Amino acid sequence: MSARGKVLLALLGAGALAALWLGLTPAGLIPRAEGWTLLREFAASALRPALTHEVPPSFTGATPFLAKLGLAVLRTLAFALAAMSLALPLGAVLGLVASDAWWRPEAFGGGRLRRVARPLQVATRVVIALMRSVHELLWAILFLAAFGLNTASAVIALAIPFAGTLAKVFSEMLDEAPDNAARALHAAGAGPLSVLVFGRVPRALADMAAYTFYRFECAVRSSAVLGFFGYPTLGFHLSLAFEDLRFREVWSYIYAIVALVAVFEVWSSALRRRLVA
Amino acid sequence: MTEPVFELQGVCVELGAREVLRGVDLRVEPGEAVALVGPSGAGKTTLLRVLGGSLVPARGQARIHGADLAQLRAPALRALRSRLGFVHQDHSLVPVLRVAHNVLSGRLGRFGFLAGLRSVLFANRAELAAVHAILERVGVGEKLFQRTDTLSGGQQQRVAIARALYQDPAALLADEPVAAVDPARARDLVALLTALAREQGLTLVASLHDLDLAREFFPRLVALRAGEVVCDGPAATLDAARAAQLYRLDGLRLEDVDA
Repeated sequence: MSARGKVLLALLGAGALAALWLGLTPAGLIPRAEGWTLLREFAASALRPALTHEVPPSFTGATPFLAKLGLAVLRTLAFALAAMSLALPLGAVLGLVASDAWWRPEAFGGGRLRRVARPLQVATRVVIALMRSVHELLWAILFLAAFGLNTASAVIALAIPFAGTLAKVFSEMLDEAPDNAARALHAAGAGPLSVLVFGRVPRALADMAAYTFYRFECAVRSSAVLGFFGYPTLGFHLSLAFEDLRFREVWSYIYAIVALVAVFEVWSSALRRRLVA
Repeated sequence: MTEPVFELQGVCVELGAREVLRGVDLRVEPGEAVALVGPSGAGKTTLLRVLGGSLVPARGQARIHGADLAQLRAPALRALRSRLGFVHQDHSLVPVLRVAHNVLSGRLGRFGFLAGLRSVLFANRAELAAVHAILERVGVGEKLFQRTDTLSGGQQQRVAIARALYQDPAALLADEPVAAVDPARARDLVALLTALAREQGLTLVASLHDLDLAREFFPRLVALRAGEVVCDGPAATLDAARAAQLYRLDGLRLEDVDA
């Protein structure tokens, strides 16, 4: 058997063992009797998302449902935007220091920073790994405990892992970008920062921009989910609606998230076309 | 006697375990046009990198405008390189930038980072006029504000020549400048390059695959084989028999090819 076949077999075997150990049986996937009713109701609501309060509010002067939904969408976006505006510059700087490209001879060959280059690069990579190995929801739990339920704790919880992921991917993109323009500028006597900004970054920019948009989309989803901890984003309203079995409202919130993500998708692919084509 | 632009004595370069240049002697006077010829892997690119101040030889002496490369510190090397226009085989432009920006980036070597940023992104009227004039001279003046990747391969190579000229260089170095274009355009480009050098009194050293083009446009040919200069003189010295000898494959180690 080929090496690849063995690896594949081992992976399948490990998967089967894990399923056995966890007691994963097909029967577990079939809902209980009352579960069926719930599921049917939930599915039936899919085509009739709520546009007004599903259960009329018991007090007068309550915010109309669509206004509440719109505000939740805006808040979800605002958390994601705030987090990304911190994560993007931090990720760009860390990604640059972690990249091989920045420390190559055409950037810093023989320069004064040469001696600290390797330790600095390794230390940065460790920091990046720490930032992104903890999920944003775990950071959120940590910051909730430390700072309480405030905007800053949510924004920072999102920003840390996102900065780490952006940094890792940016550094790889910078390293993989064609370097002929960078070498040409180096040959023309340009300094390290000029070589980077005019020779290397433009070659990686389309990929970096597309990836940033993708991470923005991820941030929007994470920001929505942070609502489950009580932050006033879509997830907060979604979880409340779900607990009260207001399924039509649940669907409204889900569609709002899908719409948000779809808008980002269209926007980012348009941007990518403009940068690449 | 005037000072030579390039003066190499016994220059040896090792890349990894391989000796790419083995005791190269070369003297190029101001205003000379020299073609480097020889089979792939002979060390033409490496020699051009030494002449361009991008590679300091481990042994031997390389002088550019009288300055010994081995004695220069990084800033002085940068200053030296900023006055040497280098045209690369694959034009080495940034495809997503406008033609003007690619040409303007030729002068980045003269500035610090912020001044360089200004000079490329916010070029003044005089700078743009200079760029336009150079683009006109190389035959793509109307492409000033086009995105570089909308140009054909030959046009992009003209932009790369314009970038090198915008450096206001003392010498032009070209590494297989026509390898990526078709024969008709290759001839036009070599004609352009040699004419530009002649008009502006620039020293020109170019490596060329095509021996016929080298003979036609360059008064002096330097033939390299396996890291050594095997022939140096007027185009006529490299006659058919010597040329055949130069490119014969036997005795050439396989790892020398494609280097």
